[in-house]
Amino acid sequence: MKTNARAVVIGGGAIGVSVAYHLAKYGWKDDVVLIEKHELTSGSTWMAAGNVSFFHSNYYGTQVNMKSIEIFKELEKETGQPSGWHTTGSIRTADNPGRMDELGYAYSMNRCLGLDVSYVTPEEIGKMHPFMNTEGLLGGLYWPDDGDVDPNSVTQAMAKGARQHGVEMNLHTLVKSIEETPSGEWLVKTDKGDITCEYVINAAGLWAPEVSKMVGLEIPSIAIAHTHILYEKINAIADADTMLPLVRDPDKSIYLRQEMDSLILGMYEANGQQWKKHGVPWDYAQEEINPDIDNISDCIEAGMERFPILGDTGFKHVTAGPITYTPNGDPLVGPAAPLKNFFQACGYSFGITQAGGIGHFLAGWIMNGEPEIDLWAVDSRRYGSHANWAYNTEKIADTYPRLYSTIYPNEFRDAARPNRTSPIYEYQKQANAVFGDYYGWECPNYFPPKGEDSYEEPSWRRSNAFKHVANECKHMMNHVGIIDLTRFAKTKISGSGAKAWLNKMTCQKVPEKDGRIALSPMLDHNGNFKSDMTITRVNEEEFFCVTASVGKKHDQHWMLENLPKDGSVAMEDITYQMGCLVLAGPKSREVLAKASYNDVSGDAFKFSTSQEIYVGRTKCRVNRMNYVGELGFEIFHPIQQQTAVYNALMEAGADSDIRMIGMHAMDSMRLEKGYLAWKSEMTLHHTPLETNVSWTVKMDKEFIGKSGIEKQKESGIPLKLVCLVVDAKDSDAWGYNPIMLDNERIGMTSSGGYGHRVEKSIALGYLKPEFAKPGTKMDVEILGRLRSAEVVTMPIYDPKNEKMKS
Amino acid sequence: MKICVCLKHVPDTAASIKLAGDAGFEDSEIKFVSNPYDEYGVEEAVSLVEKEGGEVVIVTVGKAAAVTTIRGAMAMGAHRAILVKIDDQFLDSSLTAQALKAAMEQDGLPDMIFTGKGSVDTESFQTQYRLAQSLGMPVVNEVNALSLDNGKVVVEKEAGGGDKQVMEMSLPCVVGATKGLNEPRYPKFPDIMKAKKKKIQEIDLADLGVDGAAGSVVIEKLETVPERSGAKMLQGSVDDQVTELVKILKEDEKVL
Amino acid sequence: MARTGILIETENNEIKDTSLGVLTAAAGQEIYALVLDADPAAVKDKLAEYGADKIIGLKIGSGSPDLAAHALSAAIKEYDLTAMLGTASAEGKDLFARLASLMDQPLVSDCVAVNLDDKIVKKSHFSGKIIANLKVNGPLFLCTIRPNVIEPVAAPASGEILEFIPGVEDPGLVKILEIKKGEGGKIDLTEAPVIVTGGRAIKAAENYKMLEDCASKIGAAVGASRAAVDAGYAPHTMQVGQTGKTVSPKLYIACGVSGAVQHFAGMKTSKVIVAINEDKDAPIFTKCDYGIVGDIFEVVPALTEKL
Repeated sequence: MKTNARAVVIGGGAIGVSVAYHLAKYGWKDDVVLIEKHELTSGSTWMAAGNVSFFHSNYYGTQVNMKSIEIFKELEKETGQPSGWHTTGSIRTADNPGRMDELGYAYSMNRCLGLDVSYVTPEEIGKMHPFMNTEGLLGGLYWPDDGDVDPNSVTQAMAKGARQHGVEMNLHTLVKSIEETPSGEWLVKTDKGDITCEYVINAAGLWAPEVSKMVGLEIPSIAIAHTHILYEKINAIADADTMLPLVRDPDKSIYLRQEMDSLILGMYEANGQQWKKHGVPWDYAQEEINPDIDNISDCIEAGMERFPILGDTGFKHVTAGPITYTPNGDPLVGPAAPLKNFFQACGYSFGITQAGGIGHFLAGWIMNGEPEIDLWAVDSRRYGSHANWAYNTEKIADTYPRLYSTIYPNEFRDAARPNRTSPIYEYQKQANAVFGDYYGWECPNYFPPKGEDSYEEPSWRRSNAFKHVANECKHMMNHVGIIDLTRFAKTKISGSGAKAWLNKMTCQKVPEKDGRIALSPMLDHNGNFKSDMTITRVNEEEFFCVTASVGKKHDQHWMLENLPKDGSVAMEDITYQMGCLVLAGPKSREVLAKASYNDVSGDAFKFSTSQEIYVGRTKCRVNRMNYVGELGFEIFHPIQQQTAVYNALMEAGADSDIRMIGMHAMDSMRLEKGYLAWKSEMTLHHTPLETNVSWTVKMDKEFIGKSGIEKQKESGIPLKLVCLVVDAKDSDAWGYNPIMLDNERIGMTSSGGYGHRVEKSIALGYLKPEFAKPGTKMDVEILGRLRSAEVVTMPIYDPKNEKMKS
Repeated sequence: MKICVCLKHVPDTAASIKLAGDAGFEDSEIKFVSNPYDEYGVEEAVSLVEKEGGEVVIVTVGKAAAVTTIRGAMAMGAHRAILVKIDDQFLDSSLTAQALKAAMEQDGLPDMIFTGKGSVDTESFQTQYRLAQSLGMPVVNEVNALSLDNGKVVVEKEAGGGDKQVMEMSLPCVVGATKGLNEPRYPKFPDIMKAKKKKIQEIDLADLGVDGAAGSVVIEKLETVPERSGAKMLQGSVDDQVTELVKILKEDEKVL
Repeated sequence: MARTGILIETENNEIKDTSLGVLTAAAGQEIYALVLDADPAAVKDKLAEYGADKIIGLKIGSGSPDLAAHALSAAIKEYDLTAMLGTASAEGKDLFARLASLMDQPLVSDCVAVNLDDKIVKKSHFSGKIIANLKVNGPLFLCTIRPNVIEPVAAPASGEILEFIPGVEDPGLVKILEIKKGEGGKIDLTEAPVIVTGGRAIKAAENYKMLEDCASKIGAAVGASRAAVDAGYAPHTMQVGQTGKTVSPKLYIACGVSGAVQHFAGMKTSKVIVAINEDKDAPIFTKCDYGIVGDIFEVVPALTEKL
């Protein structure tokens, strides 16, 4: 075994082998070592059903699947070893309108990617799959290019490719510990010797939590026993010339595909059984678990209803084996915070589907420092410290049976909540809040009147929350409201080098005067959006940085990675020390004045400035700026005094009809103002130049991403962010909607919704610049239907910012 | 006619066996199945009863968990079952035979008894003989073809050198089934559901008057056979390699 | 020193090699060789050479297997034998099981090692994954030994032929109607002593002929890997592995099989595994006994020739 390597991949399943293969193929050649404690595929790859399809709930996830299929089809040519790929096509069915909407979302999103996908009627489905009883179906989607692969063959083929490119494969080698060397490298200690390396990739599947523990991380991945049934030979299938398409009937929580001369039925049963509650033992390898037929009998019966032949066909083999699951069923991929050069590639419950693609993308990510596509949906840093083992155990009991549940954009599932709550949580509950779950934080989405709509119906259309959100928006427009944004990620940057360093981190000029605020995006090396940050200068050597709550781990990891080693800059996470209440609306100043000992008049407290003032008895850091486009103040305060601050404001606002406002209203209002949202508009695919915050880019200084910006300045921007008013009836754009002109796709939405203050359906999206002129007419495809739309001048609400600056 | 099928609940042959203590193994996690040879017996019994009428009774000596395996046989068509409960996977063959005999006597002796040719866990290959002896019945093991005519059972079994012996017995008799006798049916889900309602009578071994500790073959110690860790790679020209291989297989390994 | 009987199997008045190994297993004991259906005089020299002190001929002829058991039982009683060993052949296993039942004495079948002094044997449990050390208690020690595990070693002894008439009758429970001569047809995969398996590298269904030629020379059956079945080169009935058949032959020759874990699940208990594969990194080489790196279309015909 080598003693030195550039990268060590831990785990010889489909994922680990693919990562090693791609790292070697893209140039690291024999500087890549793979370590597997048993044989290739012996963790959970061996028991995978092998379904490979384009369908993924996320736009970028879908692209990973697309890349997989491309790679699987090419593997044999390249390595000489077949991958066992069969193109069979696949059908995803719907038996209710909500599901049809989900298919509509998938259809539209897939069309943004240029995929071959079509709606099929129940009759057409019946023709494609003669064994299927299509009763009760409303329709489905059909992807002709989907198929299946033999999980073992495809892993062996990638392993062969990996070896051909120089990867050293060490089987029967167990990692015992991983240590950081003083020089910042990793020392991977195994029972067969030690390797010093620059990068470690944890693709240890069932044991990924154990490997993570070696470097001090607790990751939300646990094992669940997944079952699929191989039926005995069916003559009609044996005699047929063509293969049956894979069918996913998500409403029955089953999938069915052809295997040789028969069928495999797989399922996500209601009572998923966690396997090995306290961690999978190291000596486990490719062992079948006793299947629990009683536990899956509902799904089997559902399968028989949909495919009556299954009732007359015997079980040839029932396979139950452990597969990893994360709280939302998507994997954990990418840099592991807060470590350097330690990457996760684990938590996969559909590892075969993504093995090819994620190997490609992760290899690129490791080698180039940035992923080729924005992989936030699978980024391991999307889970905060609340997503620990116990949380995961509780959460997955809910997630697993609902893996095939309809995906809704407005759904916040109840399991494993609450976790993080603001001190005023009880007040919010008393005010009848309907909460959402954001990075573990309970945050009110809206406040219906008592006894009304205390549960938001999950829907792709305007939900029962619509009218309550409308009320909140209008209230804020006309009166005053409080939004709880305690969940903001807050970082204190200080030291003699703080200002210079921040100036390197953001394209914006760091404020030169104390108490000044600047919207300061951080960019990646290509000039694309990395993070949405607001910097407040406290003094020459202290800056208060606020970033998106869900991006906390991601953003702080990026800062930490770039922090100078000489001690000139100190970084302190103060997220959990400070709360934030946003006071906004035309009457906000008068309320604040009542509540504060200080002078908060327009002259004394100007727009886009920050002051330390008293709110009630509490000294707060107050920024005169907000995300809703009204006169308003972001009031940061010591978290233990939140109730006092809240009560001071509510008392002061009693005469002004003050009320609490939720997240849905905030999101509606930010759309009207054209304010960007992180990972909607601000993704790794866009630079600020393409947006309405191009003014934040200051070319008279050096910053990360400048060369990318310069390049784009030369070549011209490929896309331009616009605001569209859409002629939508009961369903608004959500993002990833194709924007069409004369049947040609000219762009895609990044987000959308209803603007209650302007009473219009709004979408933000990126268009080719030639179409970006206000007044240009086009169509936006929503849930598979074209809606006419028009580009309007951004922002559509209070274009001159008079309200905010008043 | 009444047919008893002796069915053993054994670890799947693909399961990796982890030893626990000197003479035991960890059985809580691994997959258990019905002894594969016994399934030929179940199939034969069920098809005979489908033709001739009567009932198929599964008789199992095993741990309480054997119920899952019994249900599998019931899904294939067995009517009811008797489970003689023991605490350990391993029970001396003589005692197993005694337990089977006692259970069958209590239930009413059958016209025919099927077993597998042997079990894949202890590989003892003798319980069926002891059972037959104690009941005064004829026994033929490793039966791969069977016909029943007028109380006479004609069976066929492999003899050495690819020959086949055809033998005849009168009912009642014991037949040790093996591959070739039939293709055991795969249980269908509706049958699995029906099987859940069928009756399993549970009896403790001691209640049959059998002392589980009285066995004369005692396991002193179990040892794991190490897995292969790498091949001896032959070298030289194709001819050299092949010549060496044949020599090794004949002289060292003696497998040719 | 125990007075130990050894059941000698013969074919056409020749002692089977496997029986000589059983004699060696009892070395140091007072050995009574019981010869079934052969002329004791014809085999006397050989038995004496391998350690038989006494030789007894037992004529069973076309009698039922129970008759042989009764005859052995009579001999055991006549000569006060305290142990009796035989070969774990199909016949040996059957006969010993009948004998043990008849005499109600413990038996261990298919042992791989025997310690007659301590009455401890080793044998396989769980398809070869575990070796059990068993202690046999009782006045009579019965066991059969797996063929070929004990190398015969010459240990000359007197080889005195004893005249013995068992004086037993066939209980008539089982009647042999007919012996059907084997047609030497295809050997069943799960029972075959030797298996030659073709993987994906076989490239075409018709190329299995090459493996059949090899197999027919050594009485082997032919198997296939999942990849080969998936590619349509072989029927599913030939598949060895997790979703196919589980086999445990003496010799398993894997030709062009990559050696997936799933494949091993079906054949890892084979006694000797030989792999022939073009890819020196094929996983099969990490888990077989002998490996040849080479093109199966060159190596297999060369092997067939040498067999």
